[in-house]
Amino acid sequence: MVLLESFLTSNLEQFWNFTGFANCTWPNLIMICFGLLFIYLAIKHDFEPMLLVPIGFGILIGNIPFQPGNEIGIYEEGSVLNILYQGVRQGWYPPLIFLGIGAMTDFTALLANPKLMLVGAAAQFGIFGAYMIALAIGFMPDQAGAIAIIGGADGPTAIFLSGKLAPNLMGAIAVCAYSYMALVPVIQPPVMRLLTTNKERKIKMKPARKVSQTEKILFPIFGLLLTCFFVPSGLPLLGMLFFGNLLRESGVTTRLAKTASNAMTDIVTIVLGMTVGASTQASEFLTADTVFIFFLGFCAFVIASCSGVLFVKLFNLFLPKDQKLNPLIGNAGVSAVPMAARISNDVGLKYDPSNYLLMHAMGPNVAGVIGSAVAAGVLLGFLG
Amino acid sequence: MKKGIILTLLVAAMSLLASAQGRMEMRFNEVMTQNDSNLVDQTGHRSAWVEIFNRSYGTVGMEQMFISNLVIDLSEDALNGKKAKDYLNEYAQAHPDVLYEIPRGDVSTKVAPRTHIVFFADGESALGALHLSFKLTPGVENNLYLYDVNGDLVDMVTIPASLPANSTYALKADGASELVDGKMNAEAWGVRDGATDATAITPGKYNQGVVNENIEKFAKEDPHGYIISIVAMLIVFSALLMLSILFYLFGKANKAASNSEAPAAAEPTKVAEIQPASGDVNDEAMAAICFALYQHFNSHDEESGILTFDRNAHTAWNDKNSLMRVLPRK
Repeated sequence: MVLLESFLTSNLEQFWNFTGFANCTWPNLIMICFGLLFIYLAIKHDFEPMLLVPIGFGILIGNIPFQPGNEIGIYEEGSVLNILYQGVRQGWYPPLIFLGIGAMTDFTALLANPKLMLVGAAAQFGIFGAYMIALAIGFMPDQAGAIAIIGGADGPTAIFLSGKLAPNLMGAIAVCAYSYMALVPVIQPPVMRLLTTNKERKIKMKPARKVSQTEKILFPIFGLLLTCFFVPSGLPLLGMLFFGNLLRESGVTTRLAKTASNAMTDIVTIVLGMTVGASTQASEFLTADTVFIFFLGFCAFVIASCSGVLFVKLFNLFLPKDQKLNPLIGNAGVSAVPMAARISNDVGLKYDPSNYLLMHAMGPNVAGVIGSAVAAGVLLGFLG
Repeated sequence: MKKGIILTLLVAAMSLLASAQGRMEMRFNEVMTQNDSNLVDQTGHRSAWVEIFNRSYGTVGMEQMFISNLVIDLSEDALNGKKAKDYLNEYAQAHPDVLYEIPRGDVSTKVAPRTHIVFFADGESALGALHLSFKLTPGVENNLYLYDVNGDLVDMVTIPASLPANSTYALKADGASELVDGKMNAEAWGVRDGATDATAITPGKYNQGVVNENIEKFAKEDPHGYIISIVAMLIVFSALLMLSILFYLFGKANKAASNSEAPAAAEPTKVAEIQPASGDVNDEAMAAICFALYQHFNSHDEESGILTFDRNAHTAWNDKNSLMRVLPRK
């Protein structure tokens, strides 16, 4: 009887030591609260649910306490999570997402008014503004570059670049980028209102011209050749983006385009979001660097929005009266597609209920996707 | 069928070229001709050794490449109608003291990107693929040649007779040598005696410390990030500006082309007027109108800014319905 009792006690004690309760620390609980917050924001307030639900749940998965050594954790070689995490670590999820984005994106608005590409370029100043601030705070150039790319408002690009330049910061950078993308409706409108006059907000832009199918087919081909000859280091992202778009526009690969834009993107989004969330283990995530990264990410978003709006105002000085651009589309130069364009439209409608800016804002918005990938390529070329 | 065969051949040719390109990036990196106190092999013996560096960014399989201590005459007269590969193969069997063919199927001869492989020049090829079938002779000038599978000369090095014992003749920077007219660039090489860190003997390791020069350079010369920001923004602007100009011109050309193709005075075609008897047009009528218009104009209305009959304008970005699971029906 005593033997049985001792056997039972020792086994129960051993079991207890394996449980999450025995291994739990305060940082784990804090991170679990973050995960729950993400899930709440996604479900209750519809903040980027496709991203925040997988990330939020991934944070829960990554912060369940356990005894290391049983191939459970995301950082333990050979574990299932670790195998899935390799797509983030080695950087092959982001190009697959870009393939889907290319297959989903209609560049018609951009082709109808090609000068809007420059708005997409101007908004990338958010990246380099944040880069300078990061250097001033004391980050090394490669870390600063990885953090600054948050200003491109493009999750896959941020993961891709941080995986190459500063892998130890990738979890924080990815969560920060996706969090701020979800907060675009909160961050951008005050900036847009601050930098525009009432009269400017009511500018009505000319309807877009008709774009031929030939132009749509030529765009991904010439887009790839031009941008990648400039910045070959952006090839994984830009190559897949334009390839996906050619699948969409060629008219002969509809099945491939559908798969790339639906099933494949969904699968990669699920795995990417979940593993990025799980990579934020408390020990790796709750550091002073993370606080700085969130601060820098905020700065990057604000600078990007400001530079886009201000560039449109500057551009208007050189445009004929009938071709003026509404500065409210400037914020859409960041590549948060299509949230940023929707913000332009929503803010515009508040001041003139008949002024629909959505299609006009989609131009700089998709240009922002290209611009941020080019900027990432430039940073990788310089600092990689 | 024919197309399939041509495509398969093209792909096969391209993959062969890619593989050959990798092998052409192999470089002699460090050589020791007299080894009394340095590297030992798996049997505990010391012998001369030859380090080769894969300077490419892909794994290179060195199997069936050739290493020799004498230049092999691969002129047409010498080949006498044979393929260079077969000639070298026969030569290696007949003269193992001169030419060594790296055997097939040994994983140790696969060289990972930007890493080194070390061969012992001990004339004991029976000990494994990493043992050359010939020896290097200390105190005399030694030559080493590396040939690709098809007989192309990949690299060569001449080790001076004056090389002291237990010293190596090594590239100053790993893999940084190019042949000029089949001759080595002696300035890229130097003697390393192991006396200091800078002249350390490094079999299987980098001769030069690996540092990310870019990071150091930017941290030192652009501490505030102004230069990189300006240059990078200029690059981003230039790329998108060129794209913008190009598609502005395409747009103009497209407009001009469509104007010239348009009939001189096309009368607007009058489509049958449909006046619903009362209320809204039902779905069937709408479908019939769409189909009639499609047939009549032989066109569709996918262009933006033009009325579309597709009532479901949602996309995967904003359509909640497409995210919901269909419940099984009873």
